Amino acid sequence: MPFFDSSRAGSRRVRAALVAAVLAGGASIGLAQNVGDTVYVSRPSLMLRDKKGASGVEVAEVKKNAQLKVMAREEKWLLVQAANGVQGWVLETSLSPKKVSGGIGAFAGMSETSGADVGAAGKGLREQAEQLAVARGQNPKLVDGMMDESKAARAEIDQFMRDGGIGEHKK
Amino acid sequence: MMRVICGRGSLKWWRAGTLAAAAAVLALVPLNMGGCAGGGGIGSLGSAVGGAVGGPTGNLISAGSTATEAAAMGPEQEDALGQSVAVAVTSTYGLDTNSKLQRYVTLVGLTLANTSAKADGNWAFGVLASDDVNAFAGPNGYIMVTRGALMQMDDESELAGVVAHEIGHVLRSHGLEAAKNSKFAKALGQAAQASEQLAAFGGAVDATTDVVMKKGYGQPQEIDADLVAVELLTRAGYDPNGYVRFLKKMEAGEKSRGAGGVFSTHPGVSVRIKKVQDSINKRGNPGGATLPERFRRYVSKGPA
Repeated sequence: MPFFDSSRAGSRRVRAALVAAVLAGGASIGLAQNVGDTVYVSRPSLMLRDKKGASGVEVAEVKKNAQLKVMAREEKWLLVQAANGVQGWVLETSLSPKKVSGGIGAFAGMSETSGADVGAAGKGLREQAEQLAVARGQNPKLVDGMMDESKAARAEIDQFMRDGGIGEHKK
Repeated sequence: MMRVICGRGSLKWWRAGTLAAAAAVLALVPLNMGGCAGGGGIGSLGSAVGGAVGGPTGNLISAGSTATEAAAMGPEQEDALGQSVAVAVTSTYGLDTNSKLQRYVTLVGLTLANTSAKADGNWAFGVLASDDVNAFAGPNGYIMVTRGALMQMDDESELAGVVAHEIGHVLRSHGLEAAKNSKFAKALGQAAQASEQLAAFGGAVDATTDVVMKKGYGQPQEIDADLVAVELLTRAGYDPNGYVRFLKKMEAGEKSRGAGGVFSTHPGVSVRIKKVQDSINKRGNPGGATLPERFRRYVSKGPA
């Protein structure tokens, strides 16, 4: 049996974890940060982007528990400033109002180690997919690898089709 | 133990499906819902799908367009959904460590995807480290085939057939349908807080993964993907009869297992074989590349 036993049970688990996170007050999920607040990175690493949204260009990387200041808010995206003055946009779910003392503890079964792996490996995934993997203690490294493999294989595709007499070289 | 590719227990999916889900599938491929739910709607189903085949072939491999397009999920979120489903599948099975095999399957997949309306899509392919015979398609282009399925194949055209079938599910947005028809799609559109968004997204991922990995698609969707596969194979220059050969192996495995278990509700592979064969014949049985030597260079069936 995989980590989810049914859609309903799986969603219950996520919702329960989210509620627990909010109630605990120490986890990042669901806590609104305001302009002027000091916040901390709750993930192993976090990219600051030049504009809000996953399409924003990464301008800097900050590590877990790095201190940031909230400069502006637009919906769920926050413009934050790092200690060295660099500013960038991040999702509010990546931040905590206080330092995190071990993984994102509100999610059952997630260890510090798995969180670190996920943060390092999941850079190619969309923000939401990465966040879900983090929340569930899953490792997105394999899907990252599939995506990289696909990009790399495109350089060989013409020769592959030529050798087989297929695709653009079909007989 | 041999497991049949895709659609395990798909009739259960029909029975459990919501009215909205049924309406969406009806919009996708018009058919007699009552007949399908009862497991006896093969005749009406066949004519409906046959009608689709008779139309412009380009329609078969364009991106899916259904009654649920209005559901709140943008392209980025759809891609994230596909990635999360793929994360779920790979977390369950793992990927085969043979990098040359991974590249080979990726190249076969890209060759097929290049002939589709989503040639520049986010296609990603992988070989799962599992001896089960299966294949999966996450929404938006995340295709995975098990090592066990490769062991059942004898040439590249058979592999291309299976991959093309999975690409068909992606092109026709079958996985996205599962998500968009789940109760979480509406929640995704309404969630204001990031926490609510993530919870709703997780629910949609679970609902989709449940269909992709456990419940399987409905028979019309499986046949729909089969027909798209024939078109992709033909366009790419692969012999579509390779796919028929693979399906026949699945059918033989199904018969050898006998009735009962998860296969008792599986739509007959024989029906799919007939539909695929009919589609090939309508195209004048064009033949094409089978490439058994190249397949054997990458897929070793000997002892590890």
